[in-house]
Amino acid sequence: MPHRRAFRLRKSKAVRDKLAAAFLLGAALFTPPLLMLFMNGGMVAGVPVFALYVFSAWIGLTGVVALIAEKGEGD
Amino acid sequence: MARSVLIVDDEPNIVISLEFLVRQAGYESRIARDGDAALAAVAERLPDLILLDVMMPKRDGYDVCQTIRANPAWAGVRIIMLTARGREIDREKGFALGVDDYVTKPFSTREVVELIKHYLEPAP
Amino acid sequence: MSTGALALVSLLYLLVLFAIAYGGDRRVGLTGRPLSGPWIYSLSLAVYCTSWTFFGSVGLASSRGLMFLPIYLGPTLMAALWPMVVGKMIRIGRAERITSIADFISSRYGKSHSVGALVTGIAIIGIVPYISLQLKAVSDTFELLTHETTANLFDTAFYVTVILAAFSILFGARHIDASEHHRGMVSAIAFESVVKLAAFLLVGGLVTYSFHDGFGDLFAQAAARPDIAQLFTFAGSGDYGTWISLTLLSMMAIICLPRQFQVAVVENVDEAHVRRAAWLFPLYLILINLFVLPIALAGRLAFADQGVDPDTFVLALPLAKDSAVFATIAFLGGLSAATGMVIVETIALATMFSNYIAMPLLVRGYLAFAPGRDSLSGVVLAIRRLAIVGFLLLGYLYARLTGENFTLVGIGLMSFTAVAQFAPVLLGGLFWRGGSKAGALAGLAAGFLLWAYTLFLPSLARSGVLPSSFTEWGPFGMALLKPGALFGLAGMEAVPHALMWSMIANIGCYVLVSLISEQSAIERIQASQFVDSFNAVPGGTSQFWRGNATISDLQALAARFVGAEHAEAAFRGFSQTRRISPNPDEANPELVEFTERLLAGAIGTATARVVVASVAKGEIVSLHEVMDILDENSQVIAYSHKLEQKSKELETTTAELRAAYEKLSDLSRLKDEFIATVTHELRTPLTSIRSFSEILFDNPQVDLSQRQEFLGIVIKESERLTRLINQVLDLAKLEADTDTWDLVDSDLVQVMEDAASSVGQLFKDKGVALDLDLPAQPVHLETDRDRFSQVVINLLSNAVKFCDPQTGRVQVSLRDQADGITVSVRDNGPGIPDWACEKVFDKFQQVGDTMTSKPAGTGLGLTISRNIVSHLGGRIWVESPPGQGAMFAFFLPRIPSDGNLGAGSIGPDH
Repeated sequence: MPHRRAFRLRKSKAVRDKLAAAFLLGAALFTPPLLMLFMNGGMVAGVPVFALYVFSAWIGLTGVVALIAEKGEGD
Repeated sequence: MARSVLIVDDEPNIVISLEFLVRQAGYESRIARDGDAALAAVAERLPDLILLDVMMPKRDGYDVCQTIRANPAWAGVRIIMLTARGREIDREKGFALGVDDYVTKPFSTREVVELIKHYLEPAP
Repeated sequence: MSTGALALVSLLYLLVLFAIAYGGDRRVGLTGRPLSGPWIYSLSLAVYCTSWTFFGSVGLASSRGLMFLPIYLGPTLMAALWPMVVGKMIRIGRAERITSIADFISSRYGKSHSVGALVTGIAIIGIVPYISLQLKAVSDTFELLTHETTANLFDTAFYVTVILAAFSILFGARHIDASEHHRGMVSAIAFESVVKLAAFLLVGGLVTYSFHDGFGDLFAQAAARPDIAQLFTFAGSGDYGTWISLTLLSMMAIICLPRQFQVAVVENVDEAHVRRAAWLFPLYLILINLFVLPIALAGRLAFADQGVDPDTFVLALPLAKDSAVFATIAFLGGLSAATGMVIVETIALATMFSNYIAMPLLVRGYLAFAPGRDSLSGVVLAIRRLAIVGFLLLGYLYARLTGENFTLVGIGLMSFTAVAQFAPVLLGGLFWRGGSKAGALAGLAAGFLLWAYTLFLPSLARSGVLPSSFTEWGPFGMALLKPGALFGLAGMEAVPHALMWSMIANIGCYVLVSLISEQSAIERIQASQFVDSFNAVPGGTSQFWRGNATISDLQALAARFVGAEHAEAAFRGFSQTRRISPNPDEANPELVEFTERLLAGAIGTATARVVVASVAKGEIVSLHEVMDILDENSQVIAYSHKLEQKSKELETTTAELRAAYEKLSDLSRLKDEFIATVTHELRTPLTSIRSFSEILFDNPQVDLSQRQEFLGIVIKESERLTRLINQVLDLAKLEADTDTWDLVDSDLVQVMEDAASSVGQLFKDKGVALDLDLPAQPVHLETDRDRFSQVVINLLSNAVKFCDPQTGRVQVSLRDQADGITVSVRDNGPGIPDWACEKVFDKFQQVGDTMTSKPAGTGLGLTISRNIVSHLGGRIWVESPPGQGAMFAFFLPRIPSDGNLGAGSIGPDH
């Protein structure tokens, strides 16, 4: 059925586009303007702010990618 | 017996002026305010000439003309059409229906009188 | 721990690994359902984490803090793009039977031998240091654990090399077809990924929670030491540059490393796995990096200035606390990290080497001398096995030569920068049709040369293999060409510096040369196959072949490279699934294509093409024709698509135009009628005026009373003419909307009283009664006083016209409502028939009994009234119940909406 195929292609393209947006988000999270913000040498909950930020952003980004990738799975 | 002219128009003032002109020229005048009245008047007594306005309520001048020309008993009556529409096509339509002559409003009173005389008193 | 015991443990581990691999291969045979889900795929991608990750990250973190992270953040970012990039590569790889990254790039640039060979060369030279890193890590940790140093010719590293070579051959070079999935190997790699992650988490947990009191305690102790606390931030702004460079570098490496290409593309069994790996793989990276900083800090705290190599902290920390079990776990974790990398990398390199360096030479000889009929498949396997041994020995040699001069990360980054040179031609080739073979060669060569000059040669110089003068003073004393500060660009770290220059040269040459060079037909075919792969039609290049060959020729050819048995089985399978051409002797293009792919698995796409072409004599000349036809076809398709769109647009435009035309001709007809009617209405009073003037002029004898009567008619008709002209102009102004509207707050009661009194005479003359029903209080409304008054007067004079004299009665009322006002004018005249209620507001539509008398007026009053009311935002209507006269009314809203004021549109009923 060609239209089913076209639909699937469109859907997987939508997933790819969303993932590309997640990539841009990640690129912004891990480059200087934002990094500098957390480079103050302080500690939060006994953990250096910078490390805390990088790992939180990392986990968050991975979560976002997981949501996008798995949501598009069910077709 | 004087020749008779039937004046058909829905504008009272125009009727008044035509009536004056016809009478002054020495003819008998009768009046009809619309197409139906005109046909009734013709049926009652055949005039020698009809001054027929085109744009009238109910039955317009063309219609009246067509009805008259369709009746062989009324064949001798002369019809001069009066119209406010000076377009060529209206004129053509009038001649096609058997109108003898055509006058465009606003008309010259002398021209109308001469036309009436022309049709009622053929050159000897 | 004794050497023998540790060696035994290591060997046992490797045997377990082999058992898994063997089982993995078997299960394919038995049940057809191997371990190949998305989890296995994601875990196998974690072959990215090598000894570098396991030992080296801690080493880097102990001196540079979080600077070890970009190497994992880059791949995390790239993973989001995998479904787009790797998904495309998998699709192409499957269609073209791609066996390696060299194969992929070569295939993209017209199945070019030279491109494949160059990629292979760069990969081998670039990766050998990386292999040596693994050997160094395993042997160093082995020695650390056994407290044994062997300084003779056959040191620990050598034994490690030999054992790893043996296992790599066992895992990956048992079969001839390199494009078939090594499912056993993938299972083993996935298992190793679990082992190294578990080992690292165990050691990290031990260090953090047993040796210390959790993260908080560890960070607090570190913060108390200024020399360690500085690891929590960057030292200077240069660090940001390094951070970004390393992120970019690792983004390219995760795609371009031969072993990553192997597991991500060649070993992929289902494209859908990529989508899950896009987050599972980053998750793995997060977990394995969680304890890096804590271990580094613990190491700094525990071994302050004791000369312990930070690269061994992972092992040294449990060892220092005499925890032999955890030390062994750490060693095994490191061993699994190293073996995983070595096995996959050497297999990938060996495939590339045999396909692009060994086979072309061999095939040339084979075709030239055509020796006996013995199969070449054995030769291919032997070449691959020898290549594996060779690469490991080269790695060993590099480790021996460079010795202790480098950290694990330093060596790894050098390899990363080398393979990053593939990124422009690889990604460019996927998304840019214009990239040409010449451009690829130029870009790769330029990037590689700059890499070698700025990174590789200095590394050899520092080890004393090359004279160090050129790194310090520049070649021949030319400071501008100093490898570490090329063209005077000083102050950057070596890797960012090398990355920047090599990428500028690489991308620059690739793009420029591609733009100025011409693509051959096969390059154009391959370029469009790669770039359009997401919407390509399956079928490959077979339709381009117009060769003639017999089936037996092709089968004989295949047998020489893949073995008679394999070839026969493959050809039988092919003839069963597809109808072979009617002439049993003549091979159809599909079979030629099939043979080429079969051979591509063994000897690479470029060589396979040459070999098959020699037998099938497929004419490349015809490719030009086909390309032209293809080009033309796609142009025609694009053109007809455009046409279709255009004709659709035209259709709608035509419909719109027709509607507009109909509306216009309607309007034009209305205009004509209007003019004709106006002409008629103007001529009528004019006729009377002229007639009576002439009568009076020609008949001076007319008596006085008649003269007066006639002059009265002339005056009245003149007035009528004036009124008519005024109203026509009024209407024209209203419709053209040129008039200014003077909106002021007005007392409508007053306005209506004034209007009533101005028509009072008219009512008196006809003897019609006028009743005013107005509110006692003033009614205020923002409106145009004169226009409002005009409407009221129009309605009043309209009403009086239709009333019978004497008995007539007109009632006027004004109602003040919340949202506006309503004025109504009711008469007791003959009323208006239903059919006329809609029409009375149209121009020159007078309704009356003309039998008796024609109502005086121009027939424009109501039209003008409606226009005014609409303009003020209100509406006007008429009600006429039978026998009750007519009631005209209009409503004006309190706040006239802007849309109706001065906007040119005249109300909703227009």
